[in-house]
Amino acid sequence: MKSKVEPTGGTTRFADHVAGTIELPAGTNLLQIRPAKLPPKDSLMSLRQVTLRPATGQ
Amino acid sequence: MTAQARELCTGYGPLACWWWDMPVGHEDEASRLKFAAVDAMIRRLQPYILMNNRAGLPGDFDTPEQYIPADRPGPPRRLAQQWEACVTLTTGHGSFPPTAWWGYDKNETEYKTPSFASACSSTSSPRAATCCSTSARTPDGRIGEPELRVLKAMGEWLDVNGKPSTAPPPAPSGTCRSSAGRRSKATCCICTSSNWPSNRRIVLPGLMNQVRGAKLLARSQNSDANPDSLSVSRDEIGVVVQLPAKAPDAVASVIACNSTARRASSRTPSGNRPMTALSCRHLRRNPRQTRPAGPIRGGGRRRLRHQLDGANDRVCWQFEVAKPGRYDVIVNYGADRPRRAVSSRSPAGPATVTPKTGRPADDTSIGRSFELPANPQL
Repeated sequence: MKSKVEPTGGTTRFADHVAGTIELPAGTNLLQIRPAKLPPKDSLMSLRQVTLRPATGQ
Repeated sequence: MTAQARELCTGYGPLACWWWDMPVGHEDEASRLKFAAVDAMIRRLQPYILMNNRAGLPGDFDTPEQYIPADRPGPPRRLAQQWEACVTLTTGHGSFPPTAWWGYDKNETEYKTPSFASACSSTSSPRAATCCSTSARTPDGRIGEPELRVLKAMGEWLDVNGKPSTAPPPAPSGTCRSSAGRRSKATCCICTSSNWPSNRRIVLPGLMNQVRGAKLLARSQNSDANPDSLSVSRDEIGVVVQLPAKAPDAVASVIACNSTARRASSRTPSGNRPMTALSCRHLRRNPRQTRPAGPIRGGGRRRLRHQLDGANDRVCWQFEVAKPGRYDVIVNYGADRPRRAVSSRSPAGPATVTPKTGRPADDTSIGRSFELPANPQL
């Protein structure tokens, strides 16, 4: 899953962004976030939290 | 009723609780709207009041009757975070079977066992629940002998195990109850004898802070383990405590874990708690792949964030999923505008930005993106 980083107005102004939907099996899971595309000398994001919410859509 | 409610809310100072009960015969829509109007008036006059859910409206706390929600079999039921279990010491073998009567019932023949009542106490806590065991008094004002026997047994259990049971025990898994006050350094785990783990180990999933040791509060004469020093280790899931083969307390044994800091556990999806919040406090650290999270201040609270600056930076969480399925991934982050290397001003219009690559500014290829790999490796 890939998601574009939208500017939030600064690295200390945090906002929620829905990155997509994933399928999670029961048990121990690993979730990793890493840059997919990052121009040289640029900063990706200041990450604070990831929330997993049961998907409500179809 | 509105006038009486107004009088109660205005004539007696601050009220702590409003306990609705038995709206039998008032379940229709018109009655529900009237209840809602009174409810709103009470909250307007007493903004700090707590109200239960028995007026047919969502309350500040739920009132499960004659059962402890976490122990009820069947599919999980959504409950408010706070609940008050209303449990009588009678069992419904009296004047109004199968109803367990709330008042004195001279015909009641069976009472809750001391083990049941103590188990109720072990699963209740000031933050998550209140266990309400009532004792009906005889006509001359005394507490009956059967109920007195149960209450004494509860007191004896609390003498040994009472201190940790005052800590809130949200249950992260089906095997144990793990709890820690936000300011507490001790994490307590309560295992009832009925679900004492046969593999002699109990896991506190997601507990990321260091645990110095663990002990059983109750002592068993024929125990094969030293109750004052249980073996503690850590695996991929959390903290593992080795237990004796047999529960030292016949009702509910309490394991007290001494941790070095406040609890830092990742919340896991479950029936009652569907959301999982993976904050940077709970990052699975790997020095080769992640940089340490740096503290920042925001909104008056000390918060942690993780700065992803390099192409090889990664953050990774390990967590337990109790309820499989599809989950929306909501990422909370802060980000500056993309950095442009070269800017130039066109004489014919406003400023345009051209990156070093020479691509136009609206080219999506200059954008930044992140990904969640399908099979991440630590």
